Amino acid sequence: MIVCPNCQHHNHKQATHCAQCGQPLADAVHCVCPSCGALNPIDGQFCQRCLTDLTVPVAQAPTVPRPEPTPEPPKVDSGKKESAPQAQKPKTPERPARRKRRDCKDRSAQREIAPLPDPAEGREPKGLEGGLAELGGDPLAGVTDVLPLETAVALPHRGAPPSELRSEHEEQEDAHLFSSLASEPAPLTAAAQQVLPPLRSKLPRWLKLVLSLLLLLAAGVPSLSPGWLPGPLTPSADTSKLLSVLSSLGSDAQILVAFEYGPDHAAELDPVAERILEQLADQGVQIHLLSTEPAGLGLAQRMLHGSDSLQMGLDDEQIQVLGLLPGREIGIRTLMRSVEGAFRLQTVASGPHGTDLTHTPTRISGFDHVILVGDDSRILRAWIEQAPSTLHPLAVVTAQVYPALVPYKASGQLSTLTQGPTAAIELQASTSRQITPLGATDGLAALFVVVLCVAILANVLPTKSNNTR
Amino acid sequence: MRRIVIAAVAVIAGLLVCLSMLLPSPWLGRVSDMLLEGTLILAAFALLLGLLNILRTHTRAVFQGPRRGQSILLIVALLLTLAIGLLFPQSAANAWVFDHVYLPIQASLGALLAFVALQAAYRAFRLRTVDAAILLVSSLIMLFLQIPATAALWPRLGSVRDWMLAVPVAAGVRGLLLGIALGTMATALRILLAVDRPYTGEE
Amino acid sequence: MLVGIQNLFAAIPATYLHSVGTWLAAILTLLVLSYIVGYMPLYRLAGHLFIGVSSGYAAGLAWHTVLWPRLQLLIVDPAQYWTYGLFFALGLLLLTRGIGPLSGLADLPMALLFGVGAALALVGAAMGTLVPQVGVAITSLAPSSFGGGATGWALAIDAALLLIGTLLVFASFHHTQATEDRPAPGLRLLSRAGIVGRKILLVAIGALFSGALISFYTVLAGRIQFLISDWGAAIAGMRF
Repeated sequence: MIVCPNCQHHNHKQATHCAQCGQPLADAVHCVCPSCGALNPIDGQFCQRCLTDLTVPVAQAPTVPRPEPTPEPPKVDSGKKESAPQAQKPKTPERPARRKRRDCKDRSAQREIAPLPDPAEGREPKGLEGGLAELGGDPLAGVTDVLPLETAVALPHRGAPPSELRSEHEEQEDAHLFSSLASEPAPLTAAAQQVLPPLRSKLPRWLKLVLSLLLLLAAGVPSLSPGWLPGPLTPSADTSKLLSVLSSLGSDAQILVAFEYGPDHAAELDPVAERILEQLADQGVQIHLLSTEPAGLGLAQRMLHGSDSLQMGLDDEQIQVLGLLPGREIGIRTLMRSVEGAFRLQTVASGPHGTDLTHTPTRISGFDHVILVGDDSRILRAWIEQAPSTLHPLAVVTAQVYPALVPYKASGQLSTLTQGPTAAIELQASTSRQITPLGATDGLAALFVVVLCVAILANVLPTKSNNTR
Repeated sequence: MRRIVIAAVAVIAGLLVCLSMLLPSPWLGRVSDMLLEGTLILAAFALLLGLLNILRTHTRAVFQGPRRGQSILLIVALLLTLAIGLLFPQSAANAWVFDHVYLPIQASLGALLAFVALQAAYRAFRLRTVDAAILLVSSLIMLFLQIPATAALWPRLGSVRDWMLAVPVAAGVRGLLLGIALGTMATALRILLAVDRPYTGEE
Repeated sequence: MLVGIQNLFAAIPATYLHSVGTWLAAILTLLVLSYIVGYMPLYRLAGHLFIGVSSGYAAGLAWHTVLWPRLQLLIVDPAQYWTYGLFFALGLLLLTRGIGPLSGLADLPMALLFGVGAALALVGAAMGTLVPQVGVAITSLAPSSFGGGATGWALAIDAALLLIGTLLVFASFHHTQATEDRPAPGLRLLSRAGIVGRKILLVAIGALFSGALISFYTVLAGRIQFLISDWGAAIAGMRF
């Protein structure tokens, strides 16, 4: 029995046109097993369910009557066909090519097939709803991977999208997929390839190269442009407060600076960190550096002994590296309880450059200020959560993390919150020191132009269908 | 019996630390300090464990895997860096390895994320739903407002940016932070009540 | 011998080391960026090198800044620092994780790590995020508490919007749906509120995403600048 792709009427295997609607059956992809009624590929030899030879002509194949249409739920109705089954309106082929398999609810009533699988049995493909939600256009697909917060914990579960995001098309996809699983005992991998659509549409290679080229061009702007666009006229409130706090410190002040960023954000935060350390060193402040990450400690040591990429080496008599605090919350909490307990300073009393560490405060309250320079919201949150309520760190963070910490600034848990790239530009504008912040004004403007082009291209270029069946 | 003892250790240690943070008891403070410093030592050993696991995996790959050249390179680099770090910890050699090997590779890996993010933006910015439109408009507006030149050319845009960050963005992020905090507390409670026991091996 | 090796390294001219280092950094940068064109072998090579160097570097730091000072104290005064001996022994047990039959020995130190870590996370999340954020969200909405006048009204409206927005975002995390058997008008209201909350959440995610773009772009610009200026200078220097 050949299933008509238009009205799903079951026709004889030798039929060339549908007996009900007149649609040519050349495009049919499914046939019905005369023995068990299971759907099989049109060119299959044996029924996948009962192994009946489909090529043997059946003398009297039962004509399965089309049942009365079940009352359609409101959201399924979209003006498509599903009119009275008795009407045999020859459908003219003015509509575009329809999907081959539709409305399995009726078919399930007209043949004996296995009942739909119990989800508890685990046959329901996991992540299917999430995948189909992406077909329906979940804008969070692909974006959440680059966000700083633990979106898996906090974001709405993508397996349960709001009902208005699901279309009739997806409802029918779901129905057919369940029916397919019930009636076609295909191998698991084959079923997965047929049933599960690719979760993300793959971008064409040429498009990826175009996007990459645009981004590379924009990334070259800070290095090559002479600075067409103006910078900020006045520093922001937080940057001003940071500057005033630093300027007000005396030569006997003790400052703790936590380098909580890695080399992957060194380009963004090194200029600001270097600028802050220079300012503090100029005022004769004792600076103590530490990190909860090995890479951060490496960057701190780089500040101490100087580096090719830094503007200048710093005077190591006022700056010492305390050490590493592994374990994130464990290390930070140990530090908050006792600085001496965290670093065992008596065994490192003579630092690597012969400095005297005996004047390092033994408790966190002994420091005048704590400055956090970070790129990871989890580590910065750990600092804020483990710090006592009397400690209000000054935070300099990347643009990625900045919005995620705004509520902590609003609640007063952070004294200041500045953003690396713009803070560097503002510091350059407000002081006489020369620093070369990357991502300068021209570069960010170029980035905006590129992202705008991407947004336009995304909506202008035709999208490739995700249906790979 | 063994599992009960191990679970009891986790629960008791956790409860002692919890209580020390909530109750101002000198005895609890000393016990908590001992536990904290002890787990700091264990966290450092965990770093060494990671190194051992990498060595074990790639040593096996050298003898069995198809990409033994890369595994050999990894092992040689690891042993060389470890030797320099142990024998000459504060030396110029250690700094040289960090500045000219570690930093460039990790910085370049971070730079690759720009391409990934742009491709994600291409997918996310397709205007199929209202949600996608909101994401697109919000991203473009915030990107535009964070260009320093916009505040220089139109000072009012700086106030708009500050308002956007202080009200709608802060509302969303605060909801996220509260959700994360509740999730963290639930997970931590499950460990402290021995409902979840991730510290045991395969069960 | 160690002193000899150190002297050998110190004898190498700094400019030569700088040149070699710049070339090496440039080559490694290009190896990683070859991922863009889809050529994976070079990228994998750089990736393996990075894993080796980063693991070795982290282990060296962990030893010198955490373990070695405490080991020294234990050796010098074991009576006072006996707890270090206990935790060093537990640490050695931890290293057996992954060695098949001995893997169970690591359960005890892992239990300590997880127990203490969970306690810190619990109290930190409660006292460090939950209480302060709820406290600042639930604030007086009277304009007079913000200074009065037009500014006070504006700030009061902002505070109200912030509170409502936070509640709506919270509602969007709710997934229980009403069914025909369980009609629950409250749940329907919650679902509607959650839909609005999701829109607000998307505004926040848009801001986070734009910040992420800026960050990643800045890093890429840094690499490009290194290739153009530092490596370019090294290439130019070679011509002499």
